[in-house]
Amino acid sequence: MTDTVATPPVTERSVVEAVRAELRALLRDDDRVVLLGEDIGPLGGVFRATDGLLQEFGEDRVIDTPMAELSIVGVAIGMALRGLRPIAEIQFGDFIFAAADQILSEAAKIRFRTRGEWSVPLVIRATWGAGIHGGLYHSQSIEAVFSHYPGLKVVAASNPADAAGLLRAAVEDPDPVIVLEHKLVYRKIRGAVPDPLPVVPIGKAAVVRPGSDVTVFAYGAMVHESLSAAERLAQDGGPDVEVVDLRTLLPLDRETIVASAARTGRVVVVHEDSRTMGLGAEISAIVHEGCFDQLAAPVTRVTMPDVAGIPFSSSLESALLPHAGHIVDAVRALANRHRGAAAQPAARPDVSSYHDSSAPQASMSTTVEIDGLDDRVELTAHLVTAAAAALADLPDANGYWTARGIVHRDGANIEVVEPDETGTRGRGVVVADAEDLSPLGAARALQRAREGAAVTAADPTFTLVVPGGAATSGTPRVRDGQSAAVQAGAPVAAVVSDGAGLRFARQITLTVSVDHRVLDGAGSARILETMKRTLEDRRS
Amino acid sequence: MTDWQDEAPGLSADDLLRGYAAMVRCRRLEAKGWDLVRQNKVHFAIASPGHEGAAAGYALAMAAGRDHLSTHYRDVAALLLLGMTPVTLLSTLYGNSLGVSGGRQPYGYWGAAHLKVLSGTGPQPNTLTHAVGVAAAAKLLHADEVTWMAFGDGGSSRGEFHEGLNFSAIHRLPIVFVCENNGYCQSVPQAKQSAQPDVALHAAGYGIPGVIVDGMDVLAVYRAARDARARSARGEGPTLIEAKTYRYLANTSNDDDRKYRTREEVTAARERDPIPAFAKWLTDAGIADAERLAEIDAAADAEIAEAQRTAESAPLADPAEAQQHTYATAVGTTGTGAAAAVTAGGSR
Repeated sequence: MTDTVATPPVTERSVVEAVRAELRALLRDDDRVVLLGEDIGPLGGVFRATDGLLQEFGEDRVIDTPMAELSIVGVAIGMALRGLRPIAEIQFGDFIFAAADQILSEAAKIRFRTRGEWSVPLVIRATWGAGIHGGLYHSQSIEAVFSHYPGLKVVAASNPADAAGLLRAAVEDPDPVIVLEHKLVYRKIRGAVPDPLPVVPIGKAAVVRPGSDVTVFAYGAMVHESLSAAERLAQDGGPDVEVVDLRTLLPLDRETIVASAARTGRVVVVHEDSRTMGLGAEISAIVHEGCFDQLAAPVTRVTMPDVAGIPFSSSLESALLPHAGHIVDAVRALANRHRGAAAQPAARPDVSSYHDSSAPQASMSTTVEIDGLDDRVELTAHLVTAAAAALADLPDANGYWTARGIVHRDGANIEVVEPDETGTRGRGVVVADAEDLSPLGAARALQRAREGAAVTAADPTFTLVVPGGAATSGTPRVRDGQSAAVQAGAPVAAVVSDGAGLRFARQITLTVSVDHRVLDGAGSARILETMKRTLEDRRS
Repeated sequence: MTDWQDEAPGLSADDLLRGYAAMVRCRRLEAKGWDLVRQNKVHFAIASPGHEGAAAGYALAMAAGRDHLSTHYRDVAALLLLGMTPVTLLSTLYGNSLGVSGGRQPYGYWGAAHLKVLSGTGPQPNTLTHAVGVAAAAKLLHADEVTWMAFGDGGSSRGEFHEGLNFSAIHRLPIVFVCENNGYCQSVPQAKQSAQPDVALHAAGYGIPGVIVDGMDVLAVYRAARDARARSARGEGPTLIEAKTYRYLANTSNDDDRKYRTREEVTAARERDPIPAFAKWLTDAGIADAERLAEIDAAADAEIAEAQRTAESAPLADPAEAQQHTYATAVGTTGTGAAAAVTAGGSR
C-alpha cells in the first residue's frame, strides 16, 4: 500500500481504505477505543486495514496479540466491562470458532444474565467470504452461526460508505456487534465516502436498486452479483429487479424486507453461505409471515450448495459460488411463476427445438411430485428409469417412422439431453437397456456415457430432456428417427390441494411430444402415466 | 505483644475477626442451602465448605471498592467479606427476585456490579480472560487497582487458562490468579487432569511467579495474596497462587462423591478444616477468646436463619421481565413482549 492513513486522499475510497480511515477517526475521537488482533501492529493487518495506526496511536491502543482468538475476544470483553470500547480483529472469520465460546456463551449473554448490570460494548471485526482463492479456511461465510444468537448484532457491508458508517455505529452501540468485512469487496469495490460520515444505523437495509417485478435480497459480495444480474435482465428486457442490500443481518430489517416483498410479490434471496439454516430461510419466513397474501410465488434461494467447504481450485470454487447467471435464471423462473399454479411455459426457446423435424407432432403434459429428489443428478437418473419403464410398457414407443413403415427396435434406447446454461443447446448422451436402468444403474450409465464410453444403442428412439444448468420448461419436439420426446421442467414448489387441505409439494412438469404417425394420444397419455407412476411410487 | 502481626501483616484484629466471621457465615449458609435442597425447597446448590480459608484469604488482601474480582463459584466467604448479604446469596438459591441477577443465574454464578464482582459463567473458567481484560483496561486507564481471578484446578486444563495467563504476562498486567486446587475436577482427580500435581508450576512457562500455599490456612493464603497484589501494584505483573484445599461436600447437590473418593479421605481432610484451625490461631494469638468466637458463631446462625426466612418469602422474578435485557434497546423480535415469540407465523 502506498497511501497512508496520514493523508486520506479523496472521498473516493476502496472498502478497506474506508475501514482504515474510520478506525483512525474512532481512535482519534474516543480515548476509550482500543484495537487488538493478530498482525495489526507494524504490519498493519494482513489486509492493511490498520496500516499506520500503531505508529500514530501507540502500542497501548493498537495491540498485537498472540495467535489466540479465544483470548483476543475474552480480553476484549473484559476491556469492555471495564469501560473501554475495544475493537477486536479476527484476521480471518474462519478462525473465529476458537473464540466462539467467548462470543456465544459470554459476550452475547452477559447483559441478559446480569439483568443489565454489566454490558459488553464490544466490536469484533472479522473478514469473511470467498472469491479470493483462499481455500477452505480463508473463505467461509460465518454469518448464520452468529446471527442465530440473540444478544449479538451482526452487520455486513457491501460498499465503502456502509463499511465505515456501520463500523462507527457498532462502536457506538452498547452491545456486542460482529462487523463482517468481505475480503472480495475490500479492494474490488470503490465508492464515495461522505465527509462527515453519516452513521449507518444498525438494523436498516437499503434498497440499492429499485424495481417492480422481483426483489433480490443480498449482502456482502452478493449485492454486486445481484446488481449485475439486474442490469443484465434489464438489457434483455427481462423482469425489473429490485435489489435490497440487507447490511444488518441481526437484527434483520423486517420492515424493509416485507415492504419490498409485498410490492413485487416475488422474492429471491442470495447468499454465498450454504443453504440449509442459512439466512435465506429466515428471510423466507419473514416474507411469509409478513406478506403471504401478496406473494405471487414461493421464495427462491440462490446459495452455495450444502457442501462442507470452499475448495482452493478456482474451478471448484466458482462451481459452488452463486454468480450473476444463477440469479438471472432464478429471477426468470420466478417471474414465470404464478400462485397456485405449476410453472408456466418459459419465454425462452424450447430446449430441443434445434432438432429439425418434419414429423406431425402432438403434445400433452402432466405434473409429477418429486419430493426427496433434490439432487439434479439423482433426479436425472430417476427420469431415465421412468422413461425405460414407459418404453417397456409401450413397445411402439421404441420405434420410429419411415416411409416403408414403422421400425421397431428392442429394449429402451434413450437419448438424454442436458441443457447447458443458455438453455438452447443440449448435450446428449445415450443410454440403452443393455444397461441396468434402475436409478443407480442409470446414474452409472449416464456417467459412462458422459465420459464417452461406447454405448450399445447408436440410434436412440426416445429423447428425454432433463433439467440442466438452466431452468427450462416447454414443449419438446420429436427428432427424425424417433417416436417421442419427453421434457422435464425445472423443479418448482407448488401449492397442492389434495382433499386434506393445502400443502406445498416439489413438482416437475413432464411434457411429451409424439410423432403422430407412430403414437396417438392414448400412447402419449400412457407414457406420461407410466413415468409419473414410476417417479411417484418411488416414495412408497 | 503483637507477635501475630508477623503472620497477618497489614490486618487489624477487627479485620481478622471479620475474616473468621465470613468463613463461619459461609459454612452455616451453605449447610442451610443443602438442607433446603433435601427439603426440595430449592433446586440446586454448589458447595463451598473447605474452601473458606482460600476465599477469605485472598479477599482480605483485596482493596475493597477498588479491585475487581471474578470469583470461583465456591467463594461465598469472599463475597460475604466484600459485602454481599446472606439474603442476596440465599435468594439466589431460591432463584427469586432478590437474588444475584434476579433469578436469571443459578447459585454459584456470582456477580455484582456495585461490588465490582464480574459476572460468573457456566463454562469454567471463561471469565479468566475477562479478568485479564479488566486488568488491561485498568492499566491503560492508569487506575490504582488490581484485578483478582479465582478458579478451580479443573479450569487449568482449558485453553482459557493458558491464553489468559500468557496475555497477562506479556503485558505485565495488574492481576492475581488464585487457583483453588481441591484435588478433583468434579469427579476426575488431579492425576487425570495433569501429569504433575501443581498448577502453580505452569507459571514458569509464562514467565511469572507461581506460589503454592496451604489453602486450609487462611493467613497463608492472605500473605501470598498480599504479596502478589503488592507486586502487581508495583507494575511487576501477575502472580499465580495455588491454594491447596479440599471440598468437604459433593461437587454440587446433584453429585455423588462416594463414587469417586473414599469416606476415609474426606474424614482425614476434615482434620485440616480451615475454620477450627483459624479459631485456634485467633485464640492462641489472644485476639479473641472462645466466648467471643462462640458469639460470632451464634450471630451467624441467627443471621442465616433470618436471611433464609426473608429469601423464602421473597417474590419470584416477574415473568414480564423474561424477555428483557437481551439488548440495551429492544430490537427485532426480542424484547417486545410475548407476542413476537408466541405467535409463530405471526402478526408482524
